[in-house]
Amino acid sequence: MLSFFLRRLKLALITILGVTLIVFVAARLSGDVVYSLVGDAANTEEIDTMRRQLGLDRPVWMQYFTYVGNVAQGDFGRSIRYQRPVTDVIAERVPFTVQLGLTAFFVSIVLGVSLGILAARTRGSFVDGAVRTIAVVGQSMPHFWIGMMAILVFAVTLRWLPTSGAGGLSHLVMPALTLATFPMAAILRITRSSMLETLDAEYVKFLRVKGLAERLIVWKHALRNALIPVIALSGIQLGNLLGGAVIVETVFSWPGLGNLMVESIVSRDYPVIQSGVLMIAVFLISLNFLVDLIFGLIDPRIRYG
Amino acid sequence: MSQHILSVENLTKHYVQKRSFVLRTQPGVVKAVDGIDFALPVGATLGLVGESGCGKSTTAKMLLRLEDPSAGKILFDGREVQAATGSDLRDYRTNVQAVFQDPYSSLNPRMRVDSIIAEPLIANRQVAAVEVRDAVAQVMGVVGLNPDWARRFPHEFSGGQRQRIAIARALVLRPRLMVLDEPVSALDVSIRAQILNLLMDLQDQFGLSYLLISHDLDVIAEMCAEIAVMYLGQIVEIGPARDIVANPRHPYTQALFSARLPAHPDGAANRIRLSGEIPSPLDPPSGCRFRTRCPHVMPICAEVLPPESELPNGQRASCHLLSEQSALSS
Amino acid sequence: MVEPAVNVVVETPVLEVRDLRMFIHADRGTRIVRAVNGLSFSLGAGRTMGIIGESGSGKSMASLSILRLLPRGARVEAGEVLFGGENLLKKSDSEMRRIRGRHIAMILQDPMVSLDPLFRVGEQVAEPLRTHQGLSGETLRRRVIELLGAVGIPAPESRFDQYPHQMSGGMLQRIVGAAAISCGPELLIADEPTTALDPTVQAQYLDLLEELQDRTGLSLIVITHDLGVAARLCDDVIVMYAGRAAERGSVRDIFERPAHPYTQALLSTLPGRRAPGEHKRLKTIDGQPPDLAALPPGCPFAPRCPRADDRCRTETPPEIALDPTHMAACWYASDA
Repeated sequence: MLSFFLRRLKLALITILGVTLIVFVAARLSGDVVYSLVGDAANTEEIDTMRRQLGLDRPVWMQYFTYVGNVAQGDFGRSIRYQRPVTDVIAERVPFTVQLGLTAFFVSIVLGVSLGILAARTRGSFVDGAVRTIAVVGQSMPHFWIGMMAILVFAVTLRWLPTSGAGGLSHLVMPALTLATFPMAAILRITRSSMLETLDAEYVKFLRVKGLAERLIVWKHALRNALIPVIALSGIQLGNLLGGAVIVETVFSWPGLGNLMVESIVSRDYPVIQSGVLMIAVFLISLNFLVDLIFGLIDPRIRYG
Repeated sequence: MSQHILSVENLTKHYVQKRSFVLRTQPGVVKAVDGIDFALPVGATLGLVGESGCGKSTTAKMLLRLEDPSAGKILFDGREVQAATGSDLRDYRTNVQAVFQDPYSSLNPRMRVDSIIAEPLIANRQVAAVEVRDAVAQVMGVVGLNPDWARRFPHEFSGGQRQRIAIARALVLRPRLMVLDEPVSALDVSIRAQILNLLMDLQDQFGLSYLLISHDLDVIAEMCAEIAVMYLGQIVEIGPARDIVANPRHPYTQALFSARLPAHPDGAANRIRLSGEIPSPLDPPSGCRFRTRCPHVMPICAEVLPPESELPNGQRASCHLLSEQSALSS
Repeated sequence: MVEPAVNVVVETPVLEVRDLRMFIHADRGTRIVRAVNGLSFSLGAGRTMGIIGESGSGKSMASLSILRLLPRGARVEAGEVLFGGENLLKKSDSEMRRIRGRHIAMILQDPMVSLDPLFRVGEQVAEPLRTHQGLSGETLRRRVIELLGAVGIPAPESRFDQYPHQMSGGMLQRIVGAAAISCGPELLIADEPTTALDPTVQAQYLDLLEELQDRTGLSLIVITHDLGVAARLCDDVIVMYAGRAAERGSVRDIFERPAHPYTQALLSTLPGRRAPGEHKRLKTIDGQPPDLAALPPGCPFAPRCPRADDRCRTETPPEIALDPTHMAACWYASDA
């Protein structure tokens, strides 16, 4: 177990270094922050001063090593836009994204898995057809479109829910459900197909031969087997939620990390972009590790040694 | 030398197994095939029998050049195959063809039958389209398929017909040796006989030599002139088929053939029951590989790998019981 | 050949199947596959019956119909399945569940995939005992360990908590056998017990079936494509073709006096029964089994039968009794 963990840690470090390097260079290729800071009237000297202050006059590789060195010591730098430590800027946004993401994730798992099981158990029926339609629609509509339609219907026309911003539970409903549609549909589809495959397995037939009640067969045996691919996919979907959050938070002006990232990219706030991406990378890597651990718990054939 | 189309000497395949973190595997060397020798006379059928994991399929893969041997030699027509390159290698690939067990998965479902059969022809040589068409039609006739079906897809055929397609594909290059890996195991009883007959006819017609791999002892007994019995990567007994079937000398061969199902209710033979399980090829027993399950095990079996004893009829078996007997009689 | 009077069943048979028909409605009901098309037989207590046939003959479908575990789209259209005198086809689903695993057990084709990979083998043997006999706790565990020992598993206590992937094929066969006999069924159905198994493993499996039968006195139905299995294990044999019994009788009737041309042909196509390497052609049966969704009129074997005449191609032959226990569905059965 320990050696497995260490191996994964080594891989994770390499991945993170790679990711930060790419983001570091890509952000600098996208344009020059200095011009947008100093304004159109600035002269060359002012521009050079600003550049030196920000440390942007040095070669990119040197900047990168300084950055990595600082990060290793826990210093993530200061936001160019907000003039505050990056950690503070990010920290105040994270809770919003966590709230939104976890709600959406929870909703997509509960709905996806239960509808998936329902569809599998009523294979070929009207219910199955309806559920599969939901899945196709959910996977084919883009987030921004669902979001805008939802605002139009529930906020503008019906006035049941606020259009945007964060606040009470009512603010959370639309962004969370919008964000949940895609993963819900994906989880639903894989649950259905995995459950169908499991219900056709020889060992399920043998459970029937033994005279076990159908509910035991479905909930004790089939579900546990069927969940293995569902868990793998859910891990991926939780990662994808972060991508979706960028769009959904923008549509609903939700003050989360996604929103911050968009803002920072527009204003070329390099330190925030770099650390935001770094955080996302660390999150995704931990997520993968967690999924592997869950596999080990569910499936006795997998043990990490 | 030339009366043997194929011979192998000390053929060996060891897989180095790395430690896996996900599946609990131990590092080590899997001795899949561990120094086997046999020779296949021209126009004859040699049967390779043994149970799952005995190394018979790995042997086939090495002969088909799908795996490289770790040690040993494969001689085709007296020439070493391993050294062959360029046109020699192409010749070998033309001369040695294979038919596999599953007629459902061994044919590409998206290709039409004529393309499937023509594929090796086109891949191996430059041939004109007309010639290809004629060759395909001709070989389809030879294996008993209606050439009018050439534009159909594999799923339009029954299992037996698919196996005929696979045989046609192997035959189209006019090979001299065919490796038949469980060629009828997936087929129904009544179809099985049709395919076995076809294989025997083709052998007569084209002078083909067969290396037949099967766990089905009935098929082996029907088809083979010679039989080699493998256990844990080694050949424990080899010789003329009629002698091995009627009078096996190695205790493993005896147990194996005693497990054969009877042809008649009265035929239930005295079965030799083996105890225990086949040991792991990662950690085979010292001395004789079969000693952990052998009903006649002796102290020497754990210490010394039994030498091969040859009987006057050409039957050879590696067992200390036999070397003792020959020592006594000489 | 004078035979002792065999199989004159005096007591009620354990299982009696009468004119069973099971059709599969495929392609939204446009194709009706007559998987079992009028099968009758009876099985006496403690006897072993072999149901022999090629793929598509209906042999597995017949056994699934008996247990009422039908594939999708399949329906039993007619017939009776009398088990202990009661018609299983009239039972409710929950009544059937109480019969499965308790009175009628089944071992599926491949023991390697018959156990749930995520559960310990002990638990999987315990399930029928918990469901049908209400055992639990230490009593249940003791009973399971006893069963594991009874089917020849060494050190059963230590095996209880293992997972299927930790066991060899031979062990898994025994685990599956233990689960099947756990509640002391009167009837055990073994589906294709030898398919794709190595000869020594296959022989072990047949030994195990015999041991289970000796131990509990159960009646056994063996579904197989292999005449050798029947010769090795069975008292009675049914040869199925296109959903019907082409011939049925004692194992000696079938092997020594086969009356149906299909049985005769099957027996003569077996490879490996002459001196090895003789290199003569095997007898074959030309053609393919019929499409069960478009059966020819008359005898289903007629298109492949060397002896078929006009009557065979128009009228379906009934089962003709050659003696009280031996019948063949062939117009010319008594000429043989």
